[in-house]
Amino acid sequence: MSDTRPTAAEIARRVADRETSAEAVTREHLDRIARRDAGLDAFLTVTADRALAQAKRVDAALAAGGAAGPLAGVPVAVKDLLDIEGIATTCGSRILEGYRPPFTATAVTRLEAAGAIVIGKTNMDEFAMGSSTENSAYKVTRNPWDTARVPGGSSGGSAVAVSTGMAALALGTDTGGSIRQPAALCGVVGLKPTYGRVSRYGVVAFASSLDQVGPIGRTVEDVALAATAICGLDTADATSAPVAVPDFRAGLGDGAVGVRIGVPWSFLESGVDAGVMAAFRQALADLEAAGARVVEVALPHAPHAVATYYIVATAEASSNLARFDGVRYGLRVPADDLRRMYGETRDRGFGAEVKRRIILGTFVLSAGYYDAYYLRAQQVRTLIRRDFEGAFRECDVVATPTTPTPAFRLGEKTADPLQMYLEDIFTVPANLAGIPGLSLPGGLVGGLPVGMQLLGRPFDEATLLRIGHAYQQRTTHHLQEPPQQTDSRG
Amino acid sequence: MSHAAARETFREDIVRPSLPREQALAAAPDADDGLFRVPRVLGG
Repeated sequence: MSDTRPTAAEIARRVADRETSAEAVTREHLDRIARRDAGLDAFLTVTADRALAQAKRVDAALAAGGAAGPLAGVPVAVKDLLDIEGIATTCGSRILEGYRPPFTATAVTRLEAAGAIVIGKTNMDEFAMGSSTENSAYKVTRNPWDTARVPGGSSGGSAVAVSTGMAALALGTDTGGSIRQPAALCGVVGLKPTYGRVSRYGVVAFASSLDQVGPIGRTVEDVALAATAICGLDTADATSAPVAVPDFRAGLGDGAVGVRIGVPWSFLESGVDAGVMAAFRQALADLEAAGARVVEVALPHAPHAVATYYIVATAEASSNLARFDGVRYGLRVPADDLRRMYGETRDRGFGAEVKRRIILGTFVLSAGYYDAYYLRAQQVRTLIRRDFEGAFRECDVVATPTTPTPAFRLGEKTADPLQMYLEDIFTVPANLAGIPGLSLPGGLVGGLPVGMQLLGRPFDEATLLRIGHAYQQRTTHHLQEPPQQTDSRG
Repeated sequence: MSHAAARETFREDIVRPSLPREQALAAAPDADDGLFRVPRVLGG
């Protein structure tokens, strides 16, 4: 293909029209991984054999006169937190080294049913705990716009794979911003659907009341295609919602005329980089030019979201991660008695950030502290959710910058976990409220991409996507490519 | 609104196939005779 980074929509159309084959597209993307990933380290596993076999199946079905799926032949990268039967799932952790799950995540099954080709598993912060992908036990993923900088996290590998065209689409998970923040820092589109919109079956749990699977792509149209494929009720996940899923692409042309965009100006007052704020104001102006109206809304409890999140998320993590005990899967460090085996396995298997969160979560749930921390946090969570309910009486979507700054340098925030946590200030409220969020490329600041975030009513991904599409029809930020140089280490 | 206002729903309790035992044990660091093996639990 002449285009170096064909979109998923373009690939699916060409494959359906037999202008190219799924196998040829898959080989092109595998070649690009071989050329580009050496200095970026987005992938933990490249599933070349499985991908080519799947591509041949798609081609054979088409040759036999079958209908092309909406993602026919589209190469997809999958965060290494989603299980694929027989393929290693590490979650970026030593404790799952060598683990090959006996089942496949519903989101992956649905993408493949739509014709997509899984080409690999992507690097991530260990158990999705982090905002820079530096917490992986295996490798550090670099930002293709500046390889001295982080790609964001925790779905950093997925964002880099899409940004560089190593994959046309990727799956990530978002517990506090882990799809939207790396999408913003890598200049791509990321959607965190409504809680319950996408099945979590086959997704290794971090914080079960916050985790949500979602797509990363270069255009809103591609993200809409993927969302249409993966959303919807799944009886294998009791929290998946029995809510009808529209064809998100079909609604993209409806435009932004008359849409009310709410901006919580007082929430944005402190700590936002001047360049990021200027890009955000320009994005609002572009949306106004597209016919939207900008209004002010209040989210008075949003400043407490990060503190609330780090109680709720760590509490749930401390419980979820109890399963990694050296008995059923993954690493076991042998010891003479069971308690020592548990302790030494978890000490050796988990990295520092995961241990920090397990300890915090165990503390906030412990007798005597539960009311002061966990119960209180759940109450604040309700207030944050009500803030959004109030805001959505005044507007159709809420807009903020996705992150307060562009990509930071590798190592810049690893010594100070609180600084790293504040990276999520604009993304965690959506997880606490359970609402959908979309991050769109919103221009470059100092040569680095920044994102605009749109937050919507529950199950109203369609409005986010059509506003995002209208924005991309008027702007070219999503077409900008990272430089081809892949390694600044010399 | 999402989890906060989730309604309780029930389904019939139907027996359905689940993960076969061999597969459930396949990833275990130590398994024997259809069981997970662990170090000594009680003193002795």
